[in-house]
Amino acid sequence: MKRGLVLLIAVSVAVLFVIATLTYTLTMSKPENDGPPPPPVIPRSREKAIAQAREILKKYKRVTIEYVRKKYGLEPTPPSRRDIQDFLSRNEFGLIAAFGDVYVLDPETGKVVKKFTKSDWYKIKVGDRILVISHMITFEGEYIATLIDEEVLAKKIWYTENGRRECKNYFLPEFRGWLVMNVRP
Amino acid sequence: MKLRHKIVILGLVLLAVSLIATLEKVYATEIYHVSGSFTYLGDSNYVAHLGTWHYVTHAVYDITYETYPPSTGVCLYVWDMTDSETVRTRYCAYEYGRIYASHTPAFYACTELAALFSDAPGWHDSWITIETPYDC
Repeated sequence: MKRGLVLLIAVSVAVLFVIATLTYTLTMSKPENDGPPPPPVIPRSREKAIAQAREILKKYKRVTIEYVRKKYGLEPTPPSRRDIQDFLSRNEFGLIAAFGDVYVLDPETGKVVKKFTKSDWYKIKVGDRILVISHMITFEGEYIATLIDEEVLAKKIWYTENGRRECKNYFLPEFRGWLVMNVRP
Repeated sequence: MKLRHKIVILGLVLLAVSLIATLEKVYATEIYHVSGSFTYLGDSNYVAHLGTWHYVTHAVYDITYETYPPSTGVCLYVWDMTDSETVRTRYCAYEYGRIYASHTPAFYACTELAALFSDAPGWHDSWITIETPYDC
């Protein structure tokens, strides 16, 4: 019995050793890198962040919540302080960032049908529309505005110098709006 | 110390080594270098598809670009997708020629797509370095 136990342990050790060796070898064979690049060193300020946000908002039309409700049949959800803090704790960026949800629009009515999912990525066709509702914040977590991006899937076809046909699909902005909501606690 | 005790201790040590090696493998990262020109689309839109990655736990985008005239109106779009949820994040350049974003999805992203977008004319070229954990 004891001999069997010792044998079992010895075999387990041998198996583990092989696994450890293989794993370690595979790990070491991966390309080495110097780790993530250092974050930007240029001093950041709230004023710079607001100025950049203003530049972006210039390309957007100011709309109301009622407009969004009527046009897209969607009740926009305001960001919460928790959402913003969660985003800041997970991500690092320069001055401003915007995060939000993506929706599928009905091709005929233009209303929101459902949230965009991974499977929609493979179903979507050229001419189909999506809606992105994203909340723009500064690097300090100050909420600035909510952006409304209606985009249409477009196809770009071009020919290389060798005459080869290239084709890619992109989302093109169809409508851009912005509004300000009250941040939830 | 009896032989079987030594064997058990050796086994535990090897188990620890195995676990450490496995963990190191899970959280290892890989650097991609992507370069290319930006594609012009109608209505003054310029787009560059940077890449698609799967099972991303964290990504660092350190992007350099050139435009003429110089513009900071360049933004990085990152799409995080699972089967049931999609989130899009936009990071904009705050110094000419560079976008830095350290990005962790709100959930474990099955697929992450990244693209640059700008309405600034005169794109030259871009040199893009992306670092993501790899799926193995």
